Amino acid sequence: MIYVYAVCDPETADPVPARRGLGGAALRVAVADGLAALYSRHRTLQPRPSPQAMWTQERTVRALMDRGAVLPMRFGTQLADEAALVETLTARRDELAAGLDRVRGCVELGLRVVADRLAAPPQAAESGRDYLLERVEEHRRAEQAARDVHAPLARLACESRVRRRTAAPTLFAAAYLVERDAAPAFRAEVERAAAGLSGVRAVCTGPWPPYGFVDAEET
Amino acid sequence: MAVAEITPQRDVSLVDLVDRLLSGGVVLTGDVTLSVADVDLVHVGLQLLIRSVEDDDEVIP
Repeated sequence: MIYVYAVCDPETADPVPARRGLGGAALRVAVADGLAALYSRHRTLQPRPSPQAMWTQERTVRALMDRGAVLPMRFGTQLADEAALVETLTARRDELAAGLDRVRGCVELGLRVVADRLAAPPQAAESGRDYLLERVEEHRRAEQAARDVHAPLARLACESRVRRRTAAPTLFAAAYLVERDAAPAFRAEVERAAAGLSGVRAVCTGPWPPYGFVDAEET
Repeated sequence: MAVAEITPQRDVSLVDLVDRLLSGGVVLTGDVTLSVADVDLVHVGLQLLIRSVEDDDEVIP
């Protein structure tokens, strides 16, 4: 079976990145209908979501990211063989090519607004009323973070996507598709916007391959 | 209010990495290895990790 890391333009995958994929397997490239896919061959593979496996996949995708537009695959993307891969690339050619055009020249930056440990409510609320008040306060801070931090960042980005489901201590999480050259300005805006907030910290991560901007599906 | 720029070596970006690899990216085939239940379990573990990372930060000057 084969494990797929990313889809890109054929010239982006040439030459094949000089590194190893999951399990130390050699990286290979399949080209079909004007698209390329980076993959590795495996006799058996049951990838568990360990930090090591995920960083391996991420670094493999990043090897292409500096060369050109890239569509990263979700973790665990496997196909029977090269024939199945070529068939899939051909069948979804227009959609994948449009996806590459959408992210061309851009990187993804992540924002996570996290409750400060000192300002965070105690682990065990003393009563049901305290618990509810804490949840209300969390909700209020999340809304404030969204208003004060997210809005100016969204204006700097080509696209943005707010994560609907978050759990404490994360109050707010979002991803932004930003032109590569605009990434420093984006980081500066995170610092500026976050300086006005209290009781929370803002963490900017990236640049990432555009994991959050590959389809219309809400995350 | 602190703004931390984190690198791939730092644990907080592991949280963002897992978020992206498990719920983002192109779904090329119908049979991605992980079930939704697996992904939810990983997310629960991650929130604990964020907390532990924050605790660690207090030690670093």
